[in-house]
Amino acid sequence: MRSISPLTKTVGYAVIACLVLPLVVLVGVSLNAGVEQNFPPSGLSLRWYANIFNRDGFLNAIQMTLILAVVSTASSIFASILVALAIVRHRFFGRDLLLTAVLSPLVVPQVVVGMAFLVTLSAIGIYKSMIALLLLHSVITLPFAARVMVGSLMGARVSLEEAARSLGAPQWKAFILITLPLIRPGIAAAAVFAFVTSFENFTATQFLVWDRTTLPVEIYTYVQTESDPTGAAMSSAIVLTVCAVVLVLSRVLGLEMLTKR
Amino acid sequence: MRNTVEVRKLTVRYSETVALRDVSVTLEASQFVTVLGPSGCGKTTLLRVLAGFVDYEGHVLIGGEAHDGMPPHKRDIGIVFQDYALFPHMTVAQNIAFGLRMRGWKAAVQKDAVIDVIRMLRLDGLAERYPNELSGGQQQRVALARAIAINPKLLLLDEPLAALDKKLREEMQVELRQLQQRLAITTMFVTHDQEEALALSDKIIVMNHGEVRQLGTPMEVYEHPNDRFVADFIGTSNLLAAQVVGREADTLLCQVANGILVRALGTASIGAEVFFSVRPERLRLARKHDEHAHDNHVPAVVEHITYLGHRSKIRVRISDGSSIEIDQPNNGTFTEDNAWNVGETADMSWEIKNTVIIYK
Repeated sequence: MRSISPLTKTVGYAVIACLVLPLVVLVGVSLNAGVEQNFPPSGLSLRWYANIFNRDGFLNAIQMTLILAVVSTASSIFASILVALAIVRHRFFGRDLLLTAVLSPLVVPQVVVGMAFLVTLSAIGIYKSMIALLLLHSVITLPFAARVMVGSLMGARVSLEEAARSLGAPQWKAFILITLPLIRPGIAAAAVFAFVTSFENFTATQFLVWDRTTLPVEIYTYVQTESDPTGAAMSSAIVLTVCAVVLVLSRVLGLEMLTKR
Repeated sequence: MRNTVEVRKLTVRYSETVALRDVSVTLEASQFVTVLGPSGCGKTTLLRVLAGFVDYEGHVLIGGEAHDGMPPHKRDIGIVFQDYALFPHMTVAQNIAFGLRMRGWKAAVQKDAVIDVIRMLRLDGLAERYPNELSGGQQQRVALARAIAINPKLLLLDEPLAALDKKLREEMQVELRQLQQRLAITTMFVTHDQEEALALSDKIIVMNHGEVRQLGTPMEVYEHPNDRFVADFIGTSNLLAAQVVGREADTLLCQVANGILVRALGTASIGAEVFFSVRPERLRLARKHDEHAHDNHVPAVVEHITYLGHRSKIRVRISDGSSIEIDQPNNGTFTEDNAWNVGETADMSWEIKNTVIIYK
């Protein structure tokens, strides 16, 4: 292998530093023993982590965020399988349009998506409700899930399902016994993307929250009004949880399943 | 199982094109029938109709029973796909047992049946392997095993040998034919390879542009092609247009352009426009014109010689400008100092009975 030039090395380390340093500082701040958000921390303590559990705002937001993420992941996985089946297995008028529509939340600015949902749902009277947020999150997670699923389903040959049918399996059974196991890695990857997308969404979500809010919005609101490191502790807890989840998933599924395609 | 297959007035339309047009064929019980034609001729569509994957107009009867509108999973038809379509997440044994599992067989009975089929197809020791751990030939045999395990009414094979190399393909041809005869399963085999069709089949269905052009034994389609397409598609044919100008008893006198006269056996009215075909291996080339009453003689100029050792392919040109392919066995006559030279004039001849008249 060719040796890497010093310049490339320097740039590489700089990029890694840009990615990692803020997180190191964040964790450092969260460990402050004092009430200010100092770095380096003035004394080490886990008190701000403990403080999370004293704040109903955070606890409610965690619960709400998890419910949203789980339900919207499930619904967008289900919808993305249907969309992928239509796009990969069928030729029909408006096929390209469907694909574009499904992927459009990727290119439409989140502010616009949030605003559009706000005015539309207000007009039909669904606002300040979980349903509104579930709708929004299902829509913004769908393109991530659909993209992975279309690729995954392309790899599952139709002839396999046909073989199963000729051997006596009704179409639905052929799908469940043959195609579904083959696209399982795709479903897992899509679920991770959808879950993270829902979990971390801030911009669009902000338009639809009321006195109940999601974790990213709650953290933002908190640091607007409070100056103690609880926000940093909450954020660090998220980072550590995500790292743990990704590690576990990569062990269980193999990391290549998350990065493939 | 011994089942006849009857296809009546079958038409298949895709949005723009007609894939099959008014196809009617009958397969006798236990026959090995090959559907032969160039790509896009409708042969795979015909197979997919029998399997139940395609909507159609017309009727399909298998074992005398109407199958129109019957979904694929109720048909009891074994299929070997071109890509084998082995389930990659299942072992060889699980693949073979799949059809039996769908039929609700008890696990122990399934296992015995799978062992039988594995032995029959010489797959011993591979039962616990996954498809990606098998060679092409082994995958092919697993696909075949899976299809016959359900004891199908009909076996459909969609170019199953196309992906194998030549030697393996020839071995599999023999194995396939022996297995089919032993089990006496009515079989429809789809291919574009005419040699494979001739070698394997009881009957050949020749198709082009969604229509059946000829149904016959390998010898019938080779010796007596129905039309120009069949004559050209199966083997090599020298096809020439001619007009019937005379008749003596059962012999027709046909005139090719430029005054060349050719005699042929057949019936046609004087003045009729016909085609005739002569196979390259039926043509002789000689330096001396030795008259023989049962022969056609046409002067020709040698244009190109391809020496293949056991035989030579010689291209000659006759006076109307057509070029003619001659396949000459190496019987020792034309070797060394006696070999043909380009530009040499020769006497091309063939027996009258080897002139095949094609009326359309």
